[in-house]
Amino acid sequence: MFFFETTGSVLLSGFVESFDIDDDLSAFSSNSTVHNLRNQYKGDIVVLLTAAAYPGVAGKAKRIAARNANAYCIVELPSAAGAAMTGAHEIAHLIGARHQRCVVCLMGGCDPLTNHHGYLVGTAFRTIMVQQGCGSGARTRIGRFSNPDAPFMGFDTGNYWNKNAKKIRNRAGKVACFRESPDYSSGGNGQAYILTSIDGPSTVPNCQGYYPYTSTVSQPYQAPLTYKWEISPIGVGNWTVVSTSSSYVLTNPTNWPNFWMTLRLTVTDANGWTGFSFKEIQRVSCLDDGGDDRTIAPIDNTITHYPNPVRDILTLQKISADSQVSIFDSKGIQVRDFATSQEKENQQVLSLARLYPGVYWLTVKNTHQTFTFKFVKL
Amino acid sequence: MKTRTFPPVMAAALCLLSLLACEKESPTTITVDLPDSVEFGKSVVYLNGELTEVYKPDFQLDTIYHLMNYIFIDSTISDVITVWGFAWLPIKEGNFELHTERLLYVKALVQFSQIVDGDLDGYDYELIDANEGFLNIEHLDTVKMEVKGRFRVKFKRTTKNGNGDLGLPEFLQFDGAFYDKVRLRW
Repeated sequence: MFFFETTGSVLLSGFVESFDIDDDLSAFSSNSTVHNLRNQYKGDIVVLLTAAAYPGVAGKAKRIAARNANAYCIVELPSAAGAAMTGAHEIAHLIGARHQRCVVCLMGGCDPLTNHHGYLVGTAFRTIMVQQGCGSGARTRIGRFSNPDAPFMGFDTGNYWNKNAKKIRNRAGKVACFRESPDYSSGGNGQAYILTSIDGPSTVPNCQGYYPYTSTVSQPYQAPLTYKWEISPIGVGNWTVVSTSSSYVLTNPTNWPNFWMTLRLTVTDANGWTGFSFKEIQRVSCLDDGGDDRTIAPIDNTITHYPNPVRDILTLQKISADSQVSIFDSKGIQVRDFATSQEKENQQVLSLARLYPGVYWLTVKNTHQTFTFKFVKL
Repeated sequence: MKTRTFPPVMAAALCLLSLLACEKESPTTITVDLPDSVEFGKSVVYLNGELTEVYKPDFQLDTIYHLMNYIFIDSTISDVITVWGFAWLPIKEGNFELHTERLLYVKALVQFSQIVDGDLDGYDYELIDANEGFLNIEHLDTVKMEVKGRFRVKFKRTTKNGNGDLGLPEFLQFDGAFYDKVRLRW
């Protein structure tokens, strides 16, 4: 998770946009009024949010991996925080992130010798830095930077060559020192974030139940706190408020329009400072025949499985005799169902030779617990 | 096997000479016989004397700053947007000289922009031979939202961004006659 603090926002009077974003960016970044405001508000990065509609482009950064003197970008207002996520895209350029790494590098920003590029996710999504073209096609941008350690809907969001998140993480400290930090304690210029987190299950059965999500807010903050819980189909940003208390209980995931949802918590304190937390939740097939109230059992790490990735045979160990084993594809659709028939005590061997290659979720359910893990079929 | 190499000083001198030799002068202005008038929506643009159909007019009346922009856009090459034109003009008819200063309502601010891959630099071109160019707004109707005029502008490429050949020569001379709609920009 990356947080940017808004140290100040000012109406820049006297600056007139043209139709040429290059020329405007040059004029903006060399504008003495802008320089003075940057120093006054202690902005590490400066963004011109504009109502102008530049032909063929929604935003532009002064350069990739900017230095102090050129940490400026322009973003068209309608695209800044909408589905295009142009604000995050251009700011990430300044920090050091690049577009997708093309096989044939004819396109701008595609440097085959670097490893901080965007990534195509599955067949329908792209991370924040991926532009249309160069193999991306028409894909939905998801609110993620490429990161091999953070899968999305069962798909990898990065690999060795494509890890924007690492580049941003490594260079964020340098960028943060372009200007000293604002002094919020003495009535600083901007608004600080407070730290929050969400506790609760990452997968829920597709049936009625009792699935609680609780919030944790770290000091410092000024009481009282207000809470807002919202859900949206993952990667879409179409938020619906579901609770305004300090916790949220999900009781009927079947109402969700998507198998993958994002739960967003916004906490605001008495000073107006805010904090955000996000949790991605997968709705899996309902394995409960009665649909009665129950919580997801905690993951039992005693069940083991191998190999992963799997080619033909997957072995489960320490599995009880009354277990029901199901396999779901990345869309949450059940594709296999196994009754336990143990040839060896507490061991189940599954033949997956006829399963198509891809990413799957396997769920083991018995009278005591539900155990879920992800595996890759070769 | 023995190989022959230039001493470093000699090599540097040769490179310098080579660079100087490659510095081209602006080509002579091409005479283009523009039509006396064009039908509405049938604007014509000539590139280095040849009729081209890739540049589409986008004429804007900015209601915030009360100015006119006369823009031509080529988006026929996938992932490359080429935009050039005349900006920050007053909302009136007249013959306007070309320049590159960011001054409102004074002459015609000539700009050239090439965007690659969504938000990265393409080639840079700059205005040359400004005194040989012109923008003549013959008729501007802000009720019908139509404008009629003609122009000549010359550019020279100043930098390449290393992203391959984007399809334009080093020197550009655009001539044109237009009669097209004006859209509001706010």
